[in-house]
Amino acid sequence: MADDVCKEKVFKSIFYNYAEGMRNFLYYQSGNLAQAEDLVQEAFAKLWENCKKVPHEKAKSYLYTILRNKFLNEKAHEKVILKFEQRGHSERDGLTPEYLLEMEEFRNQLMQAIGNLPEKQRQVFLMSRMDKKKYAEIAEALGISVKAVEKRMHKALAALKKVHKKV
Amino acid sequence: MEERDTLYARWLSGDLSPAEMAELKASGEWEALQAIIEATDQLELPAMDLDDAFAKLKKNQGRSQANVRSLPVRWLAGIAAGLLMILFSWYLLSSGNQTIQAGLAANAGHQFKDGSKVILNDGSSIAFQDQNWEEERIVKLTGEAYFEVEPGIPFSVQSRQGRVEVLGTRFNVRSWGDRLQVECYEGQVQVVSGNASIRLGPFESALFGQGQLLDTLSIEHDRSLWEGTEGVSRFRNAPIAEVFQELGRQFDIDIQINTTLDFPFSGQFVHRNVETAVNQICRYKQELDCQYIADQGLLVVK
Repeated sequence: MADDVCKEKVFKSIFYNYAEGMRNFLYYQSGNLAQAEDLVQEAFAKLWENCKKVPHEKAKSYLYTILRNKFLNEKAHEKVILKFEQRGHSERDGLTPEYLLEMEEFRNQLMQAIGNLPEKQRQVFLMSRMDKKKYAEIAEALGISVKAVEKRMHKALAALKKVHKKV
Repeated sequence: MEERDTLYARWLSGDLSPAEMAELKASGEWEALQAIIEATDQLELPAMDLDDAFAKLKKNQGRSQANVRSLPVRWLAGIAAGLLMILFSWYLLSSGNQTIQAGLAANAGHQFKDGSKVILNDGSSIAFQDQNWEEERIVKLTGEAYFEVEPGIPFSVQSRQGRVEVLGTRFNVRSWGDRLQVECYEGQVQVVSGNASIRLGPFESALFGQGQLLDTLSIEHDRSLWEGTEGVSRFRNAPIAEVFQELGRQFDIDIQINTTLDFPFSGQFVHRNVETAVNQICRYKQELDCQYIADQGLLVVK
């Protein structure tokens, strides 16, 4: 069977397709990058162990199920500090120092607010904004309905837009 | 069919009715939402090194055959003379090479063929040849371990910074960065690091750095009286700078020391939580003003 997950080539392509998304998924939830990477390793190790039982087209949902189960007992109420990188500082010329400072301030407060979001909202928000995932894809990863995703996204945006008023 | 509880989400996915859109713009919410999206669009996570991660996965798959497992060690605490360690380990022999690793939050213990014993501290590992143990007793150490050596042929502990040779004794070796610290509780140990060499007797300790002897002191605290397996770092009359260094290593944070305070510290900090640990150290002296900045992983000491 060409699609046998136990085949090195197939397994490797599954890894390269999903590992980063999975890592990000966990990171948005926990804020712990090292732990996220470890859990991704664990999930794939499990997939390998059970490669005979998992059809290729079910691999992604199998992997995400493992990830979700890992977090069932974790503390969901901790504040989380996330570190992101800033992509290209284009269009900075022509902007006044005061404006740039305001932007910086706004970003910092926004980061804090994202970290303070309840885990479920934060995860949806970041999967949408950082990983550019559509609601349908997020719904699949989380094992919930699209409507449920939209509700969480709405709540996240409602909370975050309060930051704007402050600046 | 107003679904107000998904309004902003649908705005983002372009799923609003014209009326809803007009309302958002009029109320000024549109501006605020737009600002969030613009700000977050600029952010990204560090790219994941997939080649590296896949290689690691493959490596761990191969290793799962030769498993070295050890059970946590329980100490009987507080009895001065005749303190016994009950330690048990359970392992599968591979081809004679043995590597034992203590993960985080567990101390690993092992008993060698000749009855000598070792306890590893968090994140440490040792490697040794089990097969020719009757001819040679050499242990390579990364991190920190406590040894009890049965009399016999020379027993040598090698770390990056130097080696410790003993004939039959109890001692603790801690190796990290370019430092090596050895504490002897019983018997004698010979420590060699770079061009420096020293012989330690009971309750003597030496600190080496960069191949030089930095400090010797006498110790009042026998580490073999460790209690339990919860990760804790204990200090007796240790220079405060060292305590902070250990804290930095344990939690992988940076320490910025803006003070010239230098005094001996006696006490401990736990490994379970960084804020608790910082408090445990900083309340030791009133003049210590500590500020832990979580999102930078930085501790500032004034």
